[in-house]
Amino acid sequence: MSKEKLKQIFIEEANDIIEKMDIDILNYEESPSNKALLNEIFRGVHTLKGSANAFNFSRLGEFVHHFEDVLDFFRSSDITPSASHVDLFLESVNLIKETLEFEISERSGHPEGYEACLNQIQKIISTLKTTPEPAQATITCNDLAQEFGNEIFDEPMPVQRPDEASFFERLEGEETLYTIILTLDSDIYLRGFDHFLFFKNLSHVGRILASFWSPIDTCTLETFDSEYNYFRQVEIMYATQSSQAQIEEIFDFLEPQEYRIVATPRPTVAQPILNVVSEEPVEVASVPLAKEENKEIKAALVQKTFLKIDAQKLDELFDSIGELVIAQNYLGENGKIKAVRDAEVTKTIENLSKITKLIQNRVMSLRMIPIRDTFEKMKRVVRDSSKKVGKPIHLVLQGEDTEIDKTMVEALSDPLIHIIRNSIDHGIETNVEERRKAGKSDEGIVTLSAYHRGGNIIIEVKDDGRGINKEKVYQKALERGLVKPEDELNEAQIYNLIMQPGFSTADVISDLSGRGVGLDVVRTAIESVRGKVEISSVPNQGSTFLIILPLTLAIIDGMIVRSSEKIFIIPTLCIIESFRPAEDEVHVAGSKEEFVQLRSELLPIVRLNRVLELDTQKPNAWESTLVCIENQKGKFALLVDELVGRQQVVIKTLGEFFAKTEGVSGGAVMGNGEVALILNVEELY
Amino acid sequence: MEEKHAKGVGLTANRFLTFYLQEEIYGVNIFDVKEIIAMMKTTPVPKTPHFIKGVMNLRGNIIPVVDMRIKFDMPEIEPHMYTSIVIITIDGKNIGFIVDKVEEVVNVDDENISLPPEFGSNVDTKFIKNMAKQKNKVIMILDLVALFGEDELGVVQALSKTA
Repeated sequence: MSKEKLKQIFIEEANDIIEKMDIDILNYEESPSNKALLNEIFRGVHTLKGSANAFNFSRLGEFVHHFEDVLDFFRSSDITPSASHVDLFLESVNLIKETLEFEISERSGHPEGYEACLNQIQKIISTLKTTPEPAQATITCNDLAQEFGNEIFDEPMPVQRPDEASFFERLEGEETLYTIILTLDSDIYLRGFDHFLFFKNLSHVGRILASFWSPIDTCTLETFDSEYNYFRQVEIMYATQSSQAQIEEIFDFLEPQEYRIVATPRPTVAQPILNVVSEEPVEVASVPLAKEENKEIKAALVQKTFLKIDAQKLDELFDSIGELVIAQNYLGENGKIKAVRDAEVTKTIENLSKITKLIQNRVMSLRMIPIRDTFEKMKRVVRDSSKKVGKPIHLVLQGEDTEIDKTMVEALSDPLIHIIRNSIDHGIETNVEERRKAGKSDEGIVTLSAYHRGGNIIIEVKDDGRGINKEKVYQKALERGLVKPEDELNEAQIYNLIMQPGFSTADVISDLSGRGVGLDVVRTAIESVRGKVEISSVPNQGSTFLIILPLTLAIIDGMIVRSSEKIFIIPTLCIIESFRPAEDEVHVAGSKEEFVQLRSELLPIVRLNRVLELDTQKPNAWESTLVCIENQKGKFALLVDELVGRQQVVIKTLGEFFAKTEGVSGGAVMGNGEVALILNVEELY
Repeated sequence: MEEKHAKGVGLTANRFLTFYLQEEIYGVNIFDVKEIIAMMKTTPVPKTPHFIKGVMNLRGNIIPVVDMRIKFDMPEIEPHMYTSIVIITIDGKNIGFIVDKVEEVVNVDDENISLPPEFGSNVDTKFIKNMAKQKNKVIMILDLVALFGEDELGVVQALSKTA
């Protein structure tokens, strides 16, 4: 593998780690007693440090190194990080992100705030370390030798070896006690092994009760060689149910003289232990901690057996499945096959159909991921915005396990950030008094939820603020010329105005939102994934943004209609209802414009065959079918010859050749193998 | 692709798939041809130029289909048993071309290939890259990029951009 490719993998991994760190830190802030989380963060930073140095990303390496120190300090002490510490952690993550970008683009210098943040980190270490135990104080030093705590060697602390019997007391069930003696050669690191590798492997099949380390004569700082094994002998007390042969497998790659495994029988007959040469052995790993950590690592390993697959390959697989479905439909609808009235044939075809559906669903599910990560990311957004505008905000997450198409997740992040910022900036009351008066808690509540509704995925962002001021919105829209005074708008239409380009009701443009671009971007982004946004609001109770998305990008629920002998598909999401009007409900204004009365509303009639220039026929509206459709501009009645049915269709693009063909957004292959066009309702009227 | 045309050396560069439109023989570079299929039903796309017959389903992918007769201002005819669609890859995109009849794959020696004359064909000469003499026949080698390269695609897009 080329270095470039390795680098690419590192960058991808690093980004994942950084993203996860952000979330972990926020979660840790909520439950500071959760050491496991802190360990998780630490592990991420540690991995980052290793790889950064491997790729000569020295700036990143340096920063992460110090950050690791701070984390390690909190990890190994009982001190809980304060809010300002957490702020610094988050700031550090930001800087790590920026530094990484600097490294990737090979820009020189440091990102803004690099030095300041580093100083602060070092300050924390120096102020905090004055109190705790002396051993820990050395950790923070840059000096390699001191970092390893070499004063332990200077003043060897004699460790009392526990009695053999005490180990037997700790055996559980069928476990046997083994004494493993590792006499690894001094060049062991160069051969790609180290003691901890074996510790890790051992802990997969048993428990390490204790280990005793016998260092060779301690060396001086000047002569220390990091590639030289200074431990002449390590003695491990090991409890396992596995046989001796199984343990030996772990050490397969070692020279036979480098290890010795001795089963120690229970001291029914008191037996002397082996003659261990150990001058002042040092007990290193405290037993319960080591055990717990190993378990965690194991659990993490089990959880994360993911396979990275090129999205392109997945798309290709998806295409092939699409073809399979079409071929299978063709088979199922083939008249000749149907005419064969044979139980075997029918059964086989039914079976085939079932399997095809199953494969289709499974392949679809490959693209689906829980929305959790996206939601978790919003915690950071809420925290930052809340600080910036000085309003305390509580974020509630619901339905994080709802699964959503991977491509949609990517498109969803930015709109969500915009909406949440908007809610915090404009929705939640600036004044706590105002909230109290309305009987609300001091803390503003923003609820982010995801759920399924009628074949769609709904993402809801709700705040309990003051709601949207309809009058103000309308006035502003008039000022900006977005609406004309004679336009009659219903509630939803007025709310929709705030997503028009160049609209902003904030009196003062704030750093967060209010530039009048935000919500416009939201609408465009959501529409690009075939979704739509609905806004509702109750004065003094808050506003709700509903993002309605199709289940996947690839499949839509479509209404099949016929016009001038041709089949078209209308996305069901846009259809409100369909009806056949009575003759007296149809009105003609002048000689061209037609309208239809639907209950209290007067809707313009749009003839599909005319819009698409299929032909010039003009059947009477009361003898045709009208489909009431809502788009950005409002409602209209689309006149078609008849409704054929409703079907899930796989969307295909028509390709560059027909890019932006007016009125058509794509095509779908129907059961008979022919292509039907999917209508773009925004462009019909 | 341009390079391949430009080199024009050896046998491989001069292999053409020939087909009929009315009484005339045309050829395209065999390396641009993806496959040949029998005529199948196409779905017309509204508001596109007349010569674009519509779209069709090529094993799950939707590709545009062009009626060569209309493109070359020849009278339209009903599809018959020889009517075929030649699928050609242009700039990585597949496009189907409806032709009257697919003839054969021919090798043409370099000395039998010449530049097109200024007149004498129903087809605007800018679409004709070369003339190839083969036995007693003359094959008009089409320049697909000129035919459906950026310019033509641009026209299609411009037409629909009025949205």
